[in-house]
Amino acid sequence: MPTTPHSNQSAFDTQMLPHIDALYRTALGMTRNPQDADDLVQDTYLRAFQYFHQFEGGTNARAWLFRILTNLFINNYRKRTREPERVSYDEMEDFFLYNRLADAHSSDGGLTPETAIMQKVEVEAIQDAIDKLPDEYREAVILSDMNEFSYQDISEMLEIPIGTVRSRLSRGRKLIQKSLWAFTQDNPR
Amino acid sequence: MNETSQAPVEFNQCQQAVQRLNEYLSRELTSDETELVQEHLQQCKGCFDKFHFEETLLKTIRAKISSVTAPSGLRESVLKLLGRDSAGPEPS
Repeated sequence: MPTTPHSNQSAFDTQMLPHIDALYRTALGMTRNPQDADDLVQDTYLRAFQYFHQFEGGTNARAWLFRILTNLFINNYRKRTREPERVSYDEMEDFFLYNRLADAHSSDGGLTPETAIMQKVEVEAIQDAIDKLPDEYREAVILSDMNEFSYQDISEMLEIPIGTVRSRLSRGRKLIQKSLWAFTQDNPR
Repeated sequence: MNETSQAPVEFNQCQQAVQRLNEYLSRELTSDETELVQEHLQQCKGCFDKFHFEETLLKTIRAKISSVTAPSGLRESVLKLLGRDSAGPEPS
């Protein structure tokens, strides 16, 4: 069990614990399994506590925690044996979802594309769309679109070039739109 | 960027804006590039509607997904793991 002076404990608690929800959401998205997400968050906090003396006060605690989490995920949780999934995205157009919803709107006079998204897309559909992404795209999408990290931060966390972050994110976003469109078709109103 | 005095063809402007969509959404463009995109969006309703939709979609995804929170048992497990005897003050 880690031992540190009380002042450190309270500094740790104040700076690190408020991020538990964001860490859990991220861990759940990456592992796609609540038990693994639980374990990953606990591992992250334990590691953070052990290395807290190396954390420079005043710097970004959230980014520091996410760096630990992604590192643990990549080394201990990511399924390395999994065959890379072949996804055909080449034919996917820009604004796929907008175009579909706009067509539906003009043909049946229903909801505008924006209202349709805000009203019809539920959190479960979003989680499902993210879960279905191939691993590499999922990690980039989670760090960028859920957590708003910069391409530079994501590049460092995942240890991939910035150009790769860019292309994975672009493809990941398109695939999410495809899933959300399928969801709105399966769940009219 | 482009020093030509002729007004660029509309199609090229749209294409150039669309090429920057993802970085625009991620706030990864330089301020000059952001300005170029925004200028185009002010002039082109088609692109404005599409970009606005993409922004709304991203915000909606962020807002809805943030309703997922850590189970209360996890918070307790973490505190126990860190050697805290009691769970400390309850979050309000």
